Order: sequence, then C-alpha cells, then structure tokens
Amino acid sequence: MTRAVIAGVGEAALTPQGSGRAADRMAVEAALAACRDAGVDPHRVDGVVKYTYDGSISTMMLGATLGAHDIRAFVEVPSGGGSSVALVDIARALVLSGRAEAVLCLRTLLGEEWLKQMTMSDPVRPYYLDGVNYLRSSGWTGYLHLFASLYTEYAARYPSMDREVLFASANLMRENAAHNPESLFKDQISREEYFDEAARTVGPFTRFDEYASADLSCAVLVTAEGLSGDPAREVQIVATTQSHGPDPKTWFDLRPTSTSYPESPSSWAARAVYEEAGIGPQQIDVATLYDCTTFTYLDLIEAFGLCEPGDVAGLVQDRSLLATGAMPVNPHGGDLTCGYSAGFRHVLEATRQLRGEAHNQTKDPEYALVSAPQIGPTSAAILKRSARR
Amino acid sequence: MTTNRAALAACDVGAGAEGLAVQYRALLRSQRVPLVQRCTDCAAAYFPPLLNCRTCHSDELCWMAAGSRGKVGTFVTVHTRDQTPSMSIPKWLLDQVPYTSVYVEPLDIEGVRIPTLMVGDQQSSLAVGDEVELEVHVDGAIHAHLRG
Repeated sequence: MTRAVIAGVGEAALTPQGSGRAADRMAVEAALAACRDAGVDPHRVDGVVKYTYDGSISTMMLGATLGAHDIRAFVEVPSGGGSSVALVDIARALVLSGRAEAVLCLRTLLGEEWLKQMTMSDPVRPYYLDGVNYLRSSGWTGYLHLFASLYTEYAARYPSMDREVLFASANLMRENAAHNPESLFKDQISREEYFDEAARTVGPFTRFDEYASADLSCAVLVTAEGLSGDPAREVQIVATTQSHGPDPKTWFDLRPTSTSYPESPSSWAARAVYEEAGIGPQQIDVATLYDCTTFTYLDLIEAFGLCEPGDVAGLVQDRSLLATGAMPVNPHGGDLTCGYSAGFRHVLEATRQLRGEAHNQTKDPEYALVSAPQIGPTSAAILKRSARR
Repeated sequence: MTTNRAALAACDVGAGAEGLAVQYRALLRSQRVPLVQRCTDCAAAYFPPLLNCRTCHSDELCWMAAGSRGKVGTFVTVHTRDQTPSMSIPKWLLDQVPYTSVYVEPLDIEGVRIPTLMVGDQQSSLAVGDEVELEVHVDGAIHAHLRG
C-alpha cells in the first residue's frame, strides 16, 4: 500500500510584521521552496490544500503559477490554529487514496492583517457572530480571553500552575529561540518587566505571554513515499487526526461555555494518534505544540500524556522543555518567538528535527508529535524519521 | 444535561442563528432572567443555542429561565484599558476595568455555562467553584455577584 510522507518543507524568509511584501508572492516562494527541498518538479503538484482564511493566493492562481500539469484536488480547510495539522491530514488522505501524489499545503500570514481579522466579523466565518452574540456582553476581548479561561480552570485544579510558571515558560522558549537565527525574540525577559502591573493584559497574561507577530509563508509538500529526490529525507506520516471533541461548539471562542474539562478536543485527538501510530507518549522524542500563549502549549503537553496531569509546572521549572532537556518542546521557540503561523510552522520544525536539519537540533529523534490547540476543531499528527536515515 | 423547567417562549430556529440571537436579546431584556435553550422533546439544555437539538435533532426548542444562582466554572479578569491588536475591550466596559467575565453553571442545569459579567471589589476574592447570584440589567448584561 502507498504510504504518505512529508517530502519537502519551505518558506518565504520570515520577517517582523509590516514588511510590505506581497502575500501572494510570498506564498509562491514558499511553495517553490518546498518543491525544491523535496527534489520534486513543481509541475508534478497535483493537489493543493489551503486555509479558507488565508486570502494570500487562490488555489487556482497557485496552480497556474506553478504550471502544474494536472491538479486533481483543490481543498480549503476552515478555522485558524485548530487546522494546522488538518492540512497534512487531508493531504495524506488524498495520497493514501491514490487521488493525488504530490499535495502542497500552505499558510501565509501578514501579522498586521491577521490581528485585524481577529476582532472583526467576516462572512466567511459566520459563526464568529456567536462570539459577538453571546460572549461580548460579558466582556469577551478575543482569543486571549479563551486561553485565559482555560488557564483559570486548570490552575484551580493544579495550583502549581501560577504566573511564575508562565514567566519561566516565556523565558524557556526564548532560550530555545536563542539557538534559532530566525526567531524574533531571543532576549530573556527580566522579572521586573514581566511582573510590572502595566504589562498585564487579560487573565494571568502579560504582553510577554502572546505570540510574536510576523509576515511569513510556510509550505509543506506531502507525497507518496519514494517520490522525492532523496527518500532518506522523507518523513513518514504515521498518524493524523482531526477532532471537534466531546462538546462541539459553533465557534472556537465559545469553549469556556463547555463543562467537558479535562476532556477536550485535544484529549480526543491524543487517543486517536497514539492508537493509529501504535506507540505511546513515552516514545515521543520531540513535540511541536501550538503556542498562542505561554500556557497553551503547557496544557497540550498534559493533554498528550507527555507528563502526568498536574505535573507540567515541574517540567518548566526543571527546564525539561529545552532542546537539550528530557522532553523537548518547540525547539525553534515556537510561534511565541517566531511569529504567528497559526501553528503551521510547527509542522516544518518537526520535519526538520526528524531529518536532523533543525537550527536547534534535539538528539536523534525518531518520533515527533505535532498538535493544534485544545479547542475544536483541532488536529494532530505523529511523524517518524525515515528508516533509511 | 436535561431539565424540566417551564418554557418562556419557543425558539425561532426558522429565523437562523442570527434570528435566534435577536430573539434571545429581546427576551433577556423583557424577562430580565438568565436564559438557556431547551429541547421540548428530549429536555436537553444548551447555551449558546443551536439550530436544532443535537441530542434528538428535534426543531422544537424553547427558551427557559436558567435560575438566578450558579457555580463559577471559570473566569477571566481584564486588567488593562489598552486596546491592543490582539484584544478588543467592549467600549462600554472601558471605565469598568478591571472587570471579570465569569462563566457560570446554573445550579440545577448540568452541562451548561452562561457568560456573565462581574465588576467591583468582589473580583479579588473570586474562585472557581464559588456560588454566585445572577442579575440581568436593563441593557441585557448578566451580572454575577458573589454570595455571602
């Protein structure tokens, strides 16, 4: 049976927001870079999967610009961060079904435009209105509100999760970022800066607890195994899933109205990927986890069983999450330091880690976990390095 | 997840999600009680409302009073008046900062949380699991007050 692999990853050079670059041209650059990385002729691309909310380029325009001989599947995936691995899940399904053999997945984000979109309603996202209709009168401010409410519920159960842990979490990721030339935030935050009351925003968070904002474009080429110019660099996709979880909502910001905690879309996704991969969390060597805030990825570490419930504060304090630590997470510094990619850049980092080509390389990883956030719809994958490496 | 309280009005699911929201706001202002949606056929309760019952798929749904007491499921305090690109504070709340959004589970309706607002000094002692009293103001905002 055909197996699906990540054959190539590529991106347009990452810069802080406001670069003035044209988003469509950035998307083309990233797509060509992924094909080049895979050693696959761009004319062979026969499937495109993109985010609905990514207006940088249409699938039609991309296909025409690549000069693709025959694109057989154009797919758009809704949602934001929740869909980061959903693109790979769908591309993989197209390859496994024989419908396509070289499927390009992409995400382009101009930081300033994205932040504007976060707080306005949009006909493409009609249920965003349920946020406005039912949350706004209680003071809802946007995505930070949602993740702060998850923090409160977690910290009520596990008081070891306090603002000291978030402070350490922010600096740990900056320490990882210091080894990544592409990161935007590498300097350590001082205690005075972090705990200055003027820095506080929503819930436990300060302005240091949010993702960086950048102009970026990332692409991943999913192909049938053996199609690329260098099979030893192909990364196997051993499990993928999408989940809306135990209490599906009409818009992700409504998650605080759910009583399902500690069950979440991610706890459902975790069970699915481990079952399909036939491995357990103890076999995960490196994880790239959605990190729109300094708490988001910590909660995911537990949802995916990488530590016992309530123990993640200890992993932060003993620095286990560094690339050199016992449970490396986001060795590139994540979206917190590299700029918001809706978590899609985490797929690129996991691939680079498994090939041994990352800037902040962990030691000889065999399995990588990639996950979107704990709100629905979410998605996750387990990737494995090539047996030929 | 189910409840047998009396219906206040039938849900106009035929008007779509936006129509439901219009009906919700009007009813909240006229009745001045917190509301949830309930399936007339199987008694499942929801909030925010849906276009049909997701348990039995009936389109016979109604608005029901949620009672005036509940338990704090989770909450979020807004500490700053600064509008940043990633957060948009409702303008009418700017002079109330710090304020707290409190997600309240009505005492006898399982599986549902209602977003409410808390202002004033009581916020500093708020904790998950606390019991709160709910009050709907003239503008339709649902305010939570710590009991005792």
